[in-house]
Amino acid sequence: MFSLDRDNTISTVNSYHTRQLLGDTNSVVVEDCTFNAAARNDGAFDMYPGAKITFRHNTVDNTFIGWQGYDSGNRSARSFKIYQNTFTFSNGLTGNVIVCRGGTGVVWGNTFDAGWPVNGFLQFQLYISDHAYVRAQAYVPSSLWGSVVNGPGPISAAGSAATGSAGVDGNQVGPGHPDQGYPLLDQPGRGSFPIGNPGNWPNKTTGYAVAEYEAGVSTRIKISSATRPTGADRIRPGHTRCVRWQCGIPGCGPCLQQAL
Amino acid sequence: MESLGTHERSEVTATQGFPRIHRSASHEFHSLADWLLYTWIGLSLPEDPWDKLLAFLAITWTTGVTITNKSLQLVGCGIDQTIITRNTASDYTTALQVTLQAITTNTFYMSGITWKTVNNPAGGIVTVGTNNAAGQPVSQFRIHKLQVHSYTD
Repeated sequence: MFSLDRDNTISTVNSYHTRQLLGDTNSVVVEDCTFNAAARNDGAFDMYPGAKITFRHNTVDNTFIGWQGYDSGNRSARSFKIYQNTFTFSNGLTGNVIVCRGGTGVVWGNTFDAGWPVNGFLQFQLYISDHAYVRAQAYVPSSLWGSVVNGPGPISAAGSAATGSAGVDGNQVGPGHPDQGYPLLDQPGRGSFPIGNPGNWPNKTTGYAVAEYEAGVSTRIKISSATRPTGADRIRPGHTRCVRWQCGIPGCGPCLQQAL
Repeated sequence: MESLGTHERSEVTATQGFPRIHRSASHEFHSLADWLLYTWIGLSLPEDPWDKLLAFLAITWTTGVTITNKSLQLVGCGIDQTIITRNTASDYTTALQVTLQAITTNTFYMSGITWKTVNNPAGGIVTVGTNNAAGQPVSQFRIHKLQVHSYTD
């Protein structure tokens, strides 16, 4: 119903060179609104390359919220803060309620009523992790933001699958592995990284896609293999309070309290 | 009160039932039709920001309204009081598209409106975004206390 968009093909990818400041107001703020849908796919909001949203204190009935990733545009949506919303369901819909296909943010304190679908409340979705999906042409942000390539403009490695050697990806995991290419450009949890220069991953200064819930019925969070943080990188620096984290990764325990 | 253009500054008042009214010889809105007329004509005017009033009314928009690089406050009189229904020819035409520069002096605020749509909201009912290569957005979009239906009653 709401769309957070850019006006042309290259402009807002530059938000990928702004710092990851989830506590600021540099986002489209949607608050204290009510969304009533006729069909699940109406969506309360959608957003596109470079977009940032704060979605809070809203009531969403019979639909979901979600945003686009690098698998459907030249970059992913940039950041999200989704908290203290109420989701109600009376139409028997199926599917996840919050669908993240890229960017970094926090999800916490949302309430789902008894009609909530069984599939899950939050999904990290990355089509490219199947190694066959060919992404759109990626655009480099402006060199004003320190891009390693003098953008904006497409780069030579654009339009590729996750081969484990594509120039847009981190490629800490090489070809032949299920996680090949990791970290992938703009995958969920990836923040301000110059394209073609993932050197600060997993430096953690730009954050992960993290989630907390308080009133959900299910405990499941779906996360693709290519989005999984590993080892000590699972815990954001400065966060001290563990919350329920049910992504299925043994021993995974990221903490969110300080970020909120 | 938001800052106003010089020509408007001395002419701001408030009237019961209307949360924010800017009265002047050239900027007085008694209906959405007035507002739309002002909007379309005003696209070439230099005033910034624009402050708009939507009175108690229900109206259908059959064409999209586009605001570019202009600050805008779109304040209705409350949910189910000010009702805008989208009935565009294409499912992909948004009723309202706001594109601003990514600067703090370019702001968009919308509150107190019920939005409905007759046709499928495939392209969204309202679209907001920035057009500046400096990144987006910069403390400039606030959408507050709306009710949005992806259908009509």
